[in-house]
Amino acid sequence: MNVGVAHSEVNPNTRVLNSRGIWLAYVISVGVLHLILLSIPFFSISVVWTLTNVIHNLVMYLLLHTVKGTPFETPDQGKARLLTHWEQIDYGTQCTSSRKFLSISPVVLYLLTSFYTKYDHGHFLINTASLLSVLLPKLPQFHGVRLFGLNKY
Amino acid sequence: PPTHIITVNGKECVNFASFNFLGLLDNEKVKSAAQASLKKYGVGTCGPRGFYGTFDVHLELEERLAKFMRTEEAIIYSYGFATIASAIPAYSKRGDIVFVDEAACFAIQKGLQASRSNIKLFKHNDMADLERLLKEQEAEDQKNPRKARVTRRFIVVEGLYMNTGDICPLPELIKLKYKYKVRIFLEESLSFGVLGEHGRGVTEHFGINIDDIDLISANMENSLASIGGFCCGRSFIIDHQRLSGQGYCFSASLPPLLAAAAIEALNIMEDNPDIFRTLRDKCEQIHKALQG
Repeated sequence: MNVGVAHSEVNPNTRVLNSRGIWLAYVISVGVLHLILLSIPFFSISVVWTLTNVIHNLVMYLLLHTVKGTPFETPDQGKARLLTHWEQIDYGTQCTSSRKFLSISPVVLYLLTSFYTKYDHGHFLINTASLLSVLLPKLPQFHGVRLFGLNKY
Repeated sequence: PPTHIITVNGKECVNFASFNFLGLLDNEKVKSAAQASLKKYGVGTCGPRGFYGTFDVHLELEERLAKFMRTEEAIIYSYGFATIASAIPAYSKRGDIVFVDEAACFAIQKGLQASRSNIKLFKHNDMADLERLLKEQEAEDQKNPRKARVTRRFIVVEGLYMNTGDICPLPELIKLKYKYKVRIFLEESLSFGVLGEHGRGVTEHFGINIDDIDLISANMENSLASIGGFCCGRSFIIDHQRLSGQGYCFSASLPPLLAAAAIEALNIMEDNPDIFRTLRDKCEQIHKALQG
């Protein structure tokens, strides 16, 4: 019944984003979020796209760059206890395919949002700020960096 | 098995080189219980506790030990050294702080090494030194309260030290525990079945409530005339080791004949509580005679 489920991965968090079908699931869930927001009758197209972009970046920041450690016990005596999920991906190896995918997807969403908001000034400011907040932590120079001592322990 | 009289080069000598404190290693009842279990189960269990290696004798021994030590739950390990060496890293991880006595036994040292925690050694049985270390840690905690909130602190002591033969000052340790909010892990390998009116160890010896100690770990290889070890304490604490105790999950379970021998030894200990009185009297007698 449980044939093939045993793995010797010390920290499964490091390879969950390399799993089969997870990138497709990610794209589909962003699409579903967008559809839900489009169904709200009093939002205009620009507002819907900006909201999609902002909510996507906010959730990504919370899940990848804020929450630390693992929800399960690991046999490595808590090596990743102070690391965010982004820092745990592939045990800290930079520029792997998951990291590239997750860096490019907010940029793609930003380009689509800029187009559909017709490059309006207010929307531009909000979307650019949101994009920067989710792109900067992904830079290799920011690996393990905690600004102003926030989220350190 | 070697008894208290041993023949060396044809001469009959008293055997001081054994941990068989209660003489149960040669006891007929223990031997016959082991042999009956051997006929029933065979020798080995061919599996860890989680994969078809749990027998009724294991569960019975755990229940009996928990009842004897008056705690909620007990867990059995199949090798005495691995007991404390698995228990410490199950709770203490990187970044946690462990205050341990300098004269801690080798098993504790290996457990601490496996835990990757920060180790602070205090001088043997020196409560003033321990308090100094605790105060220093408290000062550091006040400088960095956010780090302190995620750091776990433990004190690891032995009831009767293997390396020096001293008893730890448990009442003072309990006071320090509640003053500085540290958890106590007590290693009772030599004191189980030796100290205390009914053999319950150093907590009974000092008259301390067993709930004040967070984890008691002991060897069954000394007074209990078996092999292996056990940990006992609150269910909340002991249950964690069923998945995180490396020596529990990833080793074959205790052979049932040894578990049956331990149960029989426990029966003898419970039925004849005067053997502890005899043991203590004999120890004092020998101590006085050897002092000259």
